[in-house]
Amino acid sequence: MNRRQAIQRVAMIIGGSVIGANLFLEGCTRSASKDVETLFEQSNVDLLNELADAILPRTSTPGAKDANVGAFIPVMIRDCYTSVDQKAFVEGLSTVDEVAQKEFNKKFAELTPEERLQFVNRLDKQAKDFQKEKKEKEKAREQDRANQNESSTNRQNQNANKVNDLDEFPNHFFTMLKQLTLTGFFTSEVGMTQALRYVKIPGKFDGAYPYKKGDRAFA
Amino acid sequence: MADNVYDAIVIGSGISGGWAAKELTEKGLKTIMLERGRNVEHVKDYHANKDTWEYPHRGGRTKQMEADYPVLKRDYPLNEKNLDFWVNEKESPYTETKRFDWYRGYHVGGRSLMWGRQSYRFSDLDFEANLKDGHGTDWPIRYADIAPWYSYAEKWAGISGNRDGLAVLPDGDFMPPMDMNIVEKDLASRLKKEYGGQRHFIMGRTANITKPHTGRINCQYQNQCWLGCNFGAYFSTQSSTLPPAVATGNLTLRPFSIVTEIIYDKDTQKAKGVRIIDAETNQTYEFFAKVIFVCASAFNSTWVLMNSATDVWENGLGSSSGELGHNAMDHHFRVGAGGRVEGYEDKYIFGRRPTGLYVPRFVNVDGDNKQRDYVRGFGYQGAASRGRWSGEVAEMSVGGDWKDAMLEPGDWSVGFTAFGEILPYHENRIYLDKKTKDKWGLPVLAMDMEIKDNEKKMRKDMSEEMKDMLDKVGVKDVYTYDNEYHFGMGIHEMGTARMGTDAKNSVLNKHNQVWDAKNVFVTDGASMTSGACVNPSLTYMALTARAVDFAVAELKKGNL
Repeated sequence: MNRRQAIQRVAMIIGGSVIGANLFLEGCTRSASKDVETLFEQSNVDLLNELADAILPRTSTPGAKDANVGAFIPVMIRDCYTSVDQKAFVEGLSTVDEVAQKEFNKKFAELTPEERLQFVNRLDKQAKDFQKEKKEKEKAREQDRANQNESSTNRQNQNANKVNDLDEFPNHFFTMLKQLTLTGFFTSEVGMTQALRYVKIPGKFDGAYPYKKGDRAFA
Repeated sequence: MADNVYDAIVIGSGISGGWAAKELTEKGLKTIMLERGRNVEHVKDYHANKDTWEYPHRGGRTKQMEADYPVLKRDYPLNEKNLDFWVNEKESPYTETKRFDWYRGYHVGGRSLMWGRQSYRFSDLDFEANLKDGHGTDWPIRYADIAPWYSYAEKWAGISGNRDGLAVLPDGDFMPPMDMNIVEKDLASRLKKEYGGQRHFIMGRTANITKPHTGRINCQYQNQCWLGCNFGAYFSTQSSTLPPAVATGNLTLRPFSIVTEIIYDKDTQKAKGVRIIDAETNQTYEFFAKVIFVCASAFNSTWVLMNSATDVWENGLGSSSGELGHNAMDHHFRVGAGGRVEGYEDKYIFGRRPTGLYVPRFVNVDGDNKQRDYVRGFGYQGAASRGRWSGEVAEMSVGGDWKDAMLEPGDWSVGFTAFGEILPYHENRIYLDKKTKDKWGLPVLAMDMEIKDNEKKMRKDMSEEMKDMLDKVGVKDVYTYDNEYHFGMGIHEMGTARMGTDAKNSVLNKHNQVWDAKNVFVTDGASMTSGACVNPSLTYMALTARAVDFAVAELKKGNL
């Protein structure tokens, strides 16, 4: 009996019933707050694509909009982010056009490539300062708690389980946007196969593979 | 023969159970392999074809997943890609008297589908350790007893590796090794020179085949083994031990079969068979056989024993020595060092190699001149690689120029993680929590173990020694880390039904035979008398094949 026959035989013995439900699919259908649902509206998906494309624009290689990162971001915000971060993200996004209006007298989508770059670069700097401050606040609070709980025997279990949603300081809207833009782009089909080099089945290993400046990285 | 009567019963279908089934059926025994979870069919039920972008969260984790998998989320295993290879934690809870991270796979193939595949032999340094330093009890076997069985297991499983000629890490019957990359080669030769041949970066020995073998296709360097391999290039029950077992015509594989106890016959002082609950229908069934192999994964094998023959021994079958459930072990890790490697800008890596470098133990061995404030030792796993540039700069980090820069590879770097031995402490134990029940109304395990002074002292060396080595071989910006270890994270549960030299000090004899019921064999991690610092699965394969050989010979002699 060859191996292929052997495998078919196993399938027969067990009757071929497989219950391997993809549990995470159930996980993704959880009801999200109404605010988060607005991210899925086409106008917001479009705006997210424009913003993401300002962070990673098309050059000689595709950009974030080519990878439709704007459709990926709402899924991640809904399913993977805390309610505190969700709120911060929705609020942050809603102020984009206001800020653009104030600064350039037009909506974000109407800005020139240079203006867009200026816009996201300033947000990037703001976000970095904000995140630094958040880290300091968290550190201070942790210190406070450590002082209070010094006698607690339950520390290990606390470490194992993340602190409650409501306890969190939110992340900056732009920090989340940028991280999701990077993740979304570099894990997309466009990003992996057209911006980076992707070889699904390499078939061999070469640990001294020639490289010259400008060659793209492997995904 | 009635349809519930077999020659042999195998409980569990992972690395050890698969080997038991292969060996028993090839020796002509009609065998039923009982697996508590669902079937996973080779190739058909794998996830290897799917690309990252086809997952809604690109392989990440959602809040719902974190809520459903409170244990799995504590470390890397929680992910979107192979979630259905991990146990449903709500159905199968356990109790943490002390924190214990238990990463389980309840399905045909068990954790042979997701294992790390590093495959090393124990040496006499390991088999003699308990005797020499007085921790635990003496192993009833030595390297010479198991060496031929290591060869036997390696030849079928397909272990690729180099014959490095090191006493602490005996060579085996290997397939050609995978290659070091150019940076690793240079670092390895510098290390050898710096330490006068006392320390080595060697190629990781891994259960990935490097040439076609037993109908399997050699590794294609995708490095996505834990999704299941369509080429059968890494050892798993499905790729390696199940096909020959099936081919004999002697195997019956029964998924959804939770063994609740071994049926013990007081008159013959042997086991008659097992009782199971069908996980889907909740029906109870009994199966009978002359010999039973318990390979349900270390702690679950002990759970089965603890629930058996309780009318004879209050604490279960094999508990007469008082050692059942005790001497639990794992490997402690998540500590090490790394750094940046200068140069090699004109070199890159093609292919994703599913193994890395290994650094065999060098502390508390011949040639180690330093005084150590702990016993036993550790090894390292690591690699040099040329990753992508992270994009982290103070100046502008948005826009087209920035994106294009990120499309190029970054610097070369190197990193190592140490894996250390945990001593077999009697007080590190598991026990039945009869108040807490699983989905099927069965009592769950309680975990009560911790690392102690010896391991904590060792951890300092585990990062510092690597820092020294990396400094010496010219690695820049060397950093150390200790990301904290919690018992279980090594996913190398061992002990709780140890082998020993005497029925008074152990659960199993030198043939993995339960002292209290000689036709019951426990050959998985439960049987380990000490843990060494190397990955243990290859040892389970060898012990299992060896025990089957003994059991069948005994059967033929009429001794079982």
